[in-house]
Amino acid sequence: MTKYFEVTHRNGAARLGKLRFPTPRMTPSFCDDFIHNSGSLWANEQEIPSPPPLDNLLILPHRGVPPGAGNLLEEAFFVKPPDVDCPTAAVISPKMASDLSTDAYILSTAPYSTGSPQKFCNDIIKTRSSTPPDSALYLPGFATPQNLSFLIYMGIDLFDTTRAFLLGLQGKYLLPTGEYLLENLEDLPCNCSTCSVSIDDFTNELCAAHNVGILQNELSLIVHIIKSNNLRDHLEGRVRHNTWLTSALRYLDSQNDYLEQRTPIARKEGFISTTDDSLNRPEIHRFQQRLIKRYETRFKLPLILVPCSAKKPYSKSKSHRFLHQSIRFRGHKVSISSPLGIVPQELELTYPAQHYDTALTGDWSPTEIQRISNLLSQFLKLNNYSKIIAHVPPGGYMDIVKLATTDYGNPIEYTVKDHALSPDSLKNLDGALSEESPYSRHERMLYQAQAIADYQFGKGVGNLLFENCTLKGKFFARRIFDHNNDQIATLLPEYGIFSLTLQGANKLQNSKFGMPTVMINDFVPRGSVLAPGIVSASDTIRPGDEVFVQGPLALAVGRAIMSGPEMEQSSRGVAIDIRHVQKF
Amino acid sequence: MDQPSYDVYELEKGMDAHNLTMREIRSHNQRTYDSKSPTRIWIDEDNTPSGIYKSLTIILNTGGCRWARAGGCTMCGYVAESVAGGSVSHEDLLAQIQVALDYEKQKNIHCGQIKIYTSGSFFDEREIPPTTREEIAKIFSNRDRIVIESLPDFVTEQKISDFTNMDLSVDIAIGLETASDRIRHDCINKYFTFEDFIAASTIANQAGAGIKAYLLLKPPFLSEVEAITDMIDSIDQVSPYAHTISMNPSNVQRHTLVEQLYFSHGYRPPWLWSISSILRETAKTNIIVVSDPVGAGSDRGPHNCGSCDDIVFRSIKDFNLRQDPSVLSEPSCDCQETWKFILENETGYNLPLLH
Repeated sequence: MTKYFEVTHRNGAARLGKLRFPTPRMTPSFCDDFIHNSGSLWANEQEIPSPPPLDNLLILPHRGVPPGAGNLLEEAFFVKPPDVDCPTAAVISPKMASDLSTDAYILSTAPYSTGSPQKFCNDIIKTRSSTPPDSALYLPGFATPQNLSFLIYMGIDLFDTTRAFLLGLQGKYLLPTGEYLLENLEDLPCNCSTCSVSIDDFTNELCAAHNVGILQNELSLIVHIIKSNNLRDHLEGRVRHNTWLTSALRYLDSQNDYLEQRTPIARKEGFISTTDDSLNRPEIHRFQQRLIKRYETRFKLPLILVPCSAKKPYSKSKSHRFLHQSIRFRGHKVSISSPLGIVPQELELTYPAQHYDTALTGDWSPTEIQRISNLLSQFLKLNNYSKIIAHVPPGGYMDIVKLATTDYGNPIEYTVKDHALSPDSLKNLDGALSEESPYSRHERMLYQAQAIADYQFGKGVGNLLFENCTLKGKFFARRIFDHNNDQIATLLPEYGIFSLTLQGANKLQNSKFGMPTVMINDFVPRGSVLAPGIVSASDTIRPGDEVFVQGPLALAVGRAIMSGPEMEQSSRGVAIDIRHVQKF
Repeated sequence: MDQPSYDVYELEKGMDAHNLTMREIRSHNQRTYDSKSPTRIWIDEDNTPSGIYKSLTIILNTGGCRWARAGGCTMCGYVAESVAGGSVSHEDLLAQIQVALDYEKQKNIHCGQIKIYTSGSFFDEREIPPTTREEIAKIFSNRDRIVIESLPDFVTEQKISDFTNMDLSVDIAIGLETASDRIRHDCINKYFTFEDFIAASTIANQAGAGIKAYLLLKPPFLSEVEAITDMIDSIDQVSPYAHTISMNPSNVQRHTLVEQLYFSHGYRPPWLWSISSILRETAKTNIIVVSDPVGAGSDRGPHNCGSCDDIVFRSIKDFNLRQDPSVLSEPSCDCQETWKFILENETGYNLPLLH
């Protein structure tokens, strides 16, 4: 049970939190000045201070195990910390990580900065996953200006300035871009007040002070960035300067579950894709997975593959408006894009399809071509089209289509001569569709609503929810009413997902699909549900998911603020924003 | 008195876990040794209660330490240098002594003091049978002093008398490592207690022998400052029972837990600054404290930053012979600030801060 720590904001696995001292301390932070160490049991018997300190994090008596001791010793010498009523921290190794009822956990096996990045990631994932999500994790003696963003991205909350200071004492000058030997510097490449002296007077002690200052700067910047939900963008830049960190990020991305569970279904903020590593962002991976597992086309018309546009949603762009004048509702438009891969027209609003921006040169990297053509090829196996019109220019776009369709049986018509928007190309596109008749406005709105519902709740939900419904809205089904004229859903155009009314939620919950469900205690929720009120929650719930809330006194529908596992394991914090409640 | 925190014989706890771990580590050792030559021989100089002596030091190759075969001490790699299989014959042991004598002759030095170690216990009759022991006592009867290493349980008046009868001044060297039973059991995995050591020292004194206590600076799992504190406390507690203390700074030996930790960046040998600070602190006591840091200046041995290691090592050697603490204060280096920072900031949960 976590009593003195609370997570207040999440950006993926990274969090902002609060240590509830009489004067609270925000995290992530450096805890050098608010820890009280009870001491190591290897050397001596240790006593708990009495009365216990309330304005410090009390590190309980421990037998820390350094890296390399091995599982047997970690287990044999593990000390279960005593229960003390004050903000407490337990010293653990990844193997011995579990819920020990403390507010924070300290990993004693940290000092392996030169060890393998895989082992490091596995250790943090193991530790973070085995300790309560609403406890703070302290990684001692490890933070530098360069690695801090990655450590925070992994979900670590507490650090110290020890390593930065120590490296300074050894004449190692730190910047977010790396480590420089003081003796090799001709000038000090920094304008902080510590560095305002001449390099000849710049002692190792000053170097240590500079390092700590730069580390603190980096933390302030990261906190600001987490508030705007963009830590990943920042991090991709930071790790680029260091092979260990770049490897660690790649490995972390390959362990998809850890980040995926903590990544919201949708959010307002955009992100940028500037490297091949961006292709492995959890939200991109999820979009592609759901496209394959949950999406099906409902249009009985030719597939029209087109290039994406810089402006989002694509349909609002100048280029797509031109294309539209030739298509005129006679085909199913699917845009090819990096990093998302392929985006059917129905999902253009859905996160992250209108939220990303990418670095464009017209050239595609081999990784992009390989991955997107694989995705397209899978898409074509799952969705039947009478005909494919590839309205893509030569180069990367065309390479993707050709690679994806090498074994494809049906005819493919290439309609671009030189440029996708040239009069000849547009005329070819128009001509290729001459025998097709356009879909109706109702079809367009219904199919989009159904595709989004499938994407959000599971394949088939779109058919179940929106059968015999009235769709109201100008360009898309903003509000959806059932045959009794009760509203069941509202489309949130800035996220491209639905929020459900109680009617809608009940309809889904009582179907064979069911809804992600949270069981609560005997209270009537108002505004929000806090973690301690939760009895159980579906594993599949992700932040931002619509959830069905059920308790002895009420039913409700709302939006998850944390993942299902986090709801179950937390004892503090807002778990669900409630929208509608029905009392019994 | 500090107690170890577990029943040391509880299955898979404490000592059992240490022994299982050490046996696994030691099983990777593939080397074999010749039973007719000693593990090592060298000649050095020692400060003894009767003055400074040239010493012929012999590490006899016996079957090795009985305790180490069960798993043994977390820092000790000597068993890895013993003849596999466990026993060496009387003839072979005497052949080894002859190799040492030939070495001494070849160096053209007559050493007044002999030091015999076995990578185990000289008084363990499974390593050195009684007849061999008596024979060795005879061979060295023309010397002044002899130092014999043994675990405390094997020390008896009768065994000591084999040597005192030859008119030799006898010192029993006991690897006590620390006065703290807690640290000796939990960090080092050495089975005997401080009480056992006191008992052995009483027996030795009754037999007219002196005690030379070996203490280990910085066992695994301790921070630099905890290691220094433990050493100073231990010297204080041991001084009534020994005339000389040899402080052995831990070094990374092969096929040990310490080595496994070291490879994972979980262990750093002590700083040479720590050694000088301890010697300065204990110089005021009337017991002789010496330290001969094995592997000083190397990554696997006690070391500083690399640029001051030589001068600090020389000042320690100088102190060993003269016991004058002022020599220890002569060297200085930028890395003293780093060392001081580590003393203040290294803890049980972040060690080692530097490797």
